[in-house]
Amino acid sequence: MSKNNHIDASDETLLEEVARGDRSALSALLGRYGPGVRQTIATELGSKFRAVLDQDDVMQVTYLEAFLRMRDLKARGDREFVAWLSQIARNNMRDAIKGLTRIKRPDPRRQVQPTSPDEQADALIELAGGDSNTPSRVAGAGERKTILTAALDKLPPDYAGVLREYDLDSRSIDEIASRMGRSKGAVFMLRARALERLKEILPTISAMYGASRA
Amino acid sequence: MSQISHDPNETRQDPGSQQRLIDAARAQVSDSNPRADSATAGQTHSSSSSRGRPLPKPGTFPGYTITREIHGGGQGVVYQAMQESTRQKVALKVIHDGPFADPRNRARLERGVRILAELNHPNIVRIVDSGEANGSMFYVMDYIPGQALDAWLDSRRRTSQQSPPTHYRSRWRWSSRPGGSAGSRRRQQSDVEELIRLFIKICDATNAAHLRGVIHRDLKPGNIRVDDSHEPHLLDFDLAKVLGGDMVDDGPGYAKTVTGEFLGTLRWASPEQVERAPGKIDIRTDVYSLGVIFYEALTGITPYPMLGTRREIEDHILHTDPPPPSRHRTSLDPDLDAIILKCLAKPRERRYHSAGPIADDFRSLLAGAAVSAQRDSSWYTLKRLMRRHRLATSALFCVAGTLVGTSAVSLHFWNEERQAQKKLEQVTQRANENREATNVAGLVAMENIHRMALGWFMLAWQLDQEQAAKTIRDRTPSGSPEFKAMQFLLDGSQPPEQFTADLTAETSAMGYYVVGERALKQKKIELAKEAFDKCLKNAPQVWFRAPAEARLAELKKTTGS
Repeated sequence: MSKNNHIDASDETLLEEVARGDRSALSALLGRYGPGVRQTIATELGSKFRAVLDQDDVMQVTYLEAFLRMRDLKARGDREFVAWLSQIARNNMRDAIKGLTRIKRPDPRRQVQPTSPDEQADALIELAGGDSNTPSRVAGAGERKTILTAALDKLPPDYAGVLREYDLDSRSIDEIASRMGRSKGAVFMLRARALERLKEILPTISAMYGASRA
Repeated sequence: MSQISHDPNETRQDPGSQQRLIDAARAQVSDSNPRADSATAGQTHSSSSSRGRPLPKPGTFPGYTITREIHGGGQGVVYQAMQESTRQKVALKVIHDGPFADPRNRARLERGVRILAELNHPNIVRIVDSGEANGSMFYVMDYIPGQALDAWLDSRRRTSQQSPPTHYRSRWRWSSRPGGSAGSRRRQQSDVEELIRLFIKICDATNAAHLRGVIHRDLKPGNIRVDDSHEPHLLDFDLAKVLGGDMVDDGPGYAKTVTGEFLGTLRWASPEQVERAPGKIDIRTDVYSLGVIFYEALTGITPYPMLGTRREIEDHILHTDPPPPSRHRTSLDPDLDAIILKCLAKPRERRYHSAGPIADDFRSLLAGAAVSAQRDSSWYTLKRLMRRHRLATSALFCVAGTLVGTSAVSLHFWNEERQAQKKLEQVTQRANENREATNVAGLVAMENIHRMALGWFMLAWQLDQEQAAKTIRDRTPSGSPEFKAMQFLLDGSQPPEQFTADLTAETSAMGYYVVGERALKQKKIELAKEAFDKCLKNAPQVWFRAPAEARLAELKKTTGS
């Protein structure tokens, strides 16, 4: 269906198109219902966090996630579509708030031994390992690096970027936010979503490198 | 997204801005959706096409035909196979040689296999055979169709999230009906109960292994399969770590890698595992891991933030106290909080000593009985106290014109036991929340709650339950008149005139009532009468008037004046 036809198409028609992988149809639905979800998020954000997290930050990551998950969408009508989109937005908001309120870095004197770049990579795989029997977790060290690099290459650029900079290069959230021109809350959200995506694609990538899963 | 303008001057309500966000998001995913990569989509389920690791040749494992590789890595490789004699699907695990080249460790592994094979528990994957092939040891287990626990929980959550919320729409305005319906709350409670029943089975299975001296050491959702009947099955026990003997550590052995990394997955790892202290690994290590599993299952999140570096995460495990699960899911019972937090205690000696008592407490919880995890809580003791005393105090209340004990007067505040129990729950909860009451309505509610707290305090005080009384006092804001009244009652030496000097017009009636009660307990009858009289003369609100009148009437009758 052409983009012009989407303007007048019913929600049900657009949802059918989305089920067939039509990103333009999803764009049209997001355009229709995104502003409403944005307003709900703005209300739920609360005054405490509105100063450090913009509702457009939340919607930015939400829209990206919506495109990535469009094949998960099983909605048959507008209510279900709004429910699906709102859930993604709320998860993002929650992750941003968690990141913004998380405990400060502990006293260095209490920390365990320093980590090497290899351990940083291992830690990222561990964090994103998802199903705890994912082969990437038990692959050899050389395999793990290859798997991780391949997986990061499959992610949207901003997802891969935040994981590389924060988890592998140990840059601070402030530095990353400044470079990306985003708020800290947005960076936390991006990272949370990036970890989820990494978790989903690691098994697929692992299979390509000789490991497989149940 | 770096392409997106973030001009703070840009009008946020401009629909065009939303469209730009949508277009930019779409551009990010043009080639990044792994689901679009159909070439690899099938590979996760087809190990026969995996590159780099061919399947064992036919005949390698006599009696078994390997069909595909399920899982491979550190300890060994797990294959799906068919048992030729029965044509049944089985799982066959081949143990990497490495540490088991040492005959002593091999003997321990063989012993572990034997013990687990004898276990015969419905929720532990059964070992049906073992042997040696090409110099490597293998054992054969039942194949459990279904999902790993984490995948199963995700499926359940997705199902509940897909239920449409109570949203309605007009074209440009959104609102939602607040809170949840009664049906929704019932569903939530039913969901929690179902999870607890699952936990009980997991605990019972773990305990069965513990009783035979086998600890798991790597309990995690991936090692718990849930079959199509929602039955859990534990697998991948650390068969070499059988209690009662030490593992022979020979260079880069089984217990640790060369770099000192522990075997066990960080997210579910106990403090002693993070400390890399193999000597401290025991049954309670499994208890801790169970706590993490249950915490996540109930709340959907980890007890500690998992968004930092490995070092930060380990530091959280070692030093951060997790918030109670009810902080994330407010409908959860406080007893459930206590059980989970006891599993997660940092010092091993403060945890359950094995998985059996955890299951017992879960059962008690489902039955509405007291749980052992709450034994140290004075609030809990007071609740139990009220349950024990309710018949006695009701009987006292029914005795007319008799001053038998003083509990009957305190119970005058509430007529029905069920209402009293409910009020106590409210007091407990609100006492915990009183720092957050910031609006006028909240302050008014606080005032009433403090009065009820005073009533409960007086009951405990009159029954000489000093610890319970002190706990209620400690939960009451220290600047409140009720707190001062409680303090006065507990401190029998504080002169009444010193206490009443601080009273205001609003609090004087309450203050004199309290003076009267203390005087009565100290058998200072005249002082008591004078105090109750002053209470009534200070125009007390209803809730003081009735008991003060009752007291005065009784005292006058007793003393004949």
